[in-house]
Amino acid sequence: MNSSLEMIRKVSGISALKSHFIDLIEQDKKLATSQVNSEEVSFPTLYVLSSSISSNRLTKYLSDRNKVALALRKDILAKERAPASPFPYSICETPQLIHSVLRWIVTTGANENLNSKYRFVLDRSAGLLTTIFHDPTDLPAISQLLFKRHQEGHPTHYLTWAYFSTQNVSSLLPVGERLASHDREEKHFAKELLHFIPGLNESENPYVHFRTWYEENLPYLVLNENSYELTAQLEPYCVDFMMKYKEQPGNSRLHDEEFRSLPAETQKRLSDFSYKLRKYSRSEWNEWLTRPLEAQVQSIEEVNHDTYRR
Amino acid sequence: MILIGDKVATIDDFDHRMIQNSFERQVLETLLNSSVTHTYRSRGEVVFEMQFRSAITASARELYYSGAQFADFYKSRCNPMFWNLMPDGAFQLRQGVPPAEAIVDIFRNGRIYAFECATAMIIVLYKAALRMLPPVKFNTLFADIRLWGWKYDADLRIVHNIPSQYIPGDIRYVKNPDVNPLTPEWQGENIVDMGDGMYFGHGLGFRTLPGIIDALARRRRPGAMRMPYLLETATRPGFSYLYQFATMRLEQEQNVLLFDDQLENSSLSLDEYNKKQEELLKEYITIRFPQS
Repeated sequence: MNSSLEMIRKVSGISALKSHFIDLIEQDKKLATSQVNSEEVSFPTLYVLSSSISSNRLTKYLSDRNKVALALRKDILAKERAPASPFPYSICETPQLIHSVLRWIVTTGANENLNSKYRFVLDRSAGLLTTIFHDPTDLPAISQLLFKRHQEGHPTHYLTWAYFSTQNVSSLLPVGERLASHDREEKHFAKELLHFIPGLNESENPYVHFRTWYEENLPYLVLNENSYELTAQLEPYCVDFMMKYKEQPGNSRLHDEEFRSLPAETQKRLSDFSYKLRKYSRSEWNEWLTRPLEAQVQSIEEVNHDTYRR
Repeated sequence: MILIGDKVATIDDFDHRMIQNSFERQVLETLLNSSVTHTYRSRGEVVFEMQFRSAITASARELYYSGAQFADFYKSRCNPMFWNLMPDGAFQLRQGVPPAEAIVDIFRNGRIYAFECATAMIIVLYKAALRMLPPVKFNTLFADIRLWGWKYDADLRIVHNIPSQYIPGDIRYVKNPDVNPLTPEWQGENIVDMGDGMYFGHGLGFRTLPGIIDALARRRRPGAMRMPYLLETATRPGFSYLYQFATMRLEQEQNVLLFDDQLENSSLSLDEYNKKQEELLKEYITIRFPQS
């Protein structure tokens, strides 16, 4: 059953919700707080009622979820933030509670767009979720929020940074899925976020291109320290060419130094070829790997690549 | 080392009138004394880069004193007479407004503006370009300016890379990997190398590198383990590309060019030439008049 507060906000709007809640407080404070503490209440409803809650000194009667959510809201909207000020809520003591509240804020709040301050609270909450908890199960909700922000023309800069701060390669998947979207703009934004995948822009079927690239490079993707503020576009992961070339870190240390001194494009070509040859014939690959690097490069030019295509 | 064409340049190739201040001298000496070869097509191009780098530091100072505030993209603000504030926090030049005027307004009415550090750097570069290019050319080149982080106008031809040598006037980046997630705008700071051991970062002002690192370190998350650090990359506008539009070059083209027997050229105004014509004709083997 939906909470009555939720129903009022969705059907009659924010002003109606506020005046209903004030009436409720005047009639029965206990009932008012129990309604706002209901499991069915979403973050946008709590957000709308936050000033009435504080002005009527109801905070102490709130559930832990609501207390933490309002503490987060207050901290995020604080005008002055002294450097290195501690979080006002104890993440170390109650990490699960904070995590679940942040997740609740993002999942129940993503589809609402009350005002710019509200969007700011949502985006920062998403940032806390990804940078502190690194839980890959939070990613679909945050990617949903990211694409919604883009669709509505709102800032996506920090949210994109926050999204990829999960430091989890699987964060590429919910974005890659959007390449199969029928929405042109959504597809375009997904391409923009995945701009670092070679050939994606030119591909006729970007989704298939992404999946193929992802499966091929997944074991060799490493975090990239490149920052969003340094360049126009973030490149959160890059392929470790050496790893792709050798497959295992300890595998044949013969060419390590020489390989690293090669131009990036040659490293890429060698690693791609090595990967394909390995898939085609491990024995041929083992033999090829023992050749001098120069001979390996030459063999790429000589061989018809199609032979090794999967 | 500076190579102009196929000739190694020395300090004597640069007349004192070409060097306007100690910063420019420092840039020139850095280039001349470098073990790296810096290749240019002409002496004018070297002087242009020297002066452009000086203009970058001067514009950084001007931005600091303009009173423009630091703000993240959610709280960006601008003068609506010149710019439209876009929903993503970008400033889009208003239709009919000359870009040169709009850039100057940021420095004139700084207190009306607030933006983050990457946008600040692009503003500094535009202002430096305005000092170096004729306003008419500037308005043509940057006709549709949109200010938003490093999403720059392609005509600045900005390059981010690891250079063979750092030169005063470069824009560097200090990364803050353990930034407090509540203040992601401090995830790093773009800074201008002022050439005197100080760096300018929008929102931080003028500090030494340890000072910048310390300021960012205080904006890390509780329990952070990593300190901020300077990245190896440097950011520069396309000096060589922009030179073709330079005021100094255009002025030079209005002058009479004189070539001696070593094919070293110098220039002077038409008036001066007319006064000393007889004498000059004896000394110089080629004289080229400006195009009409």
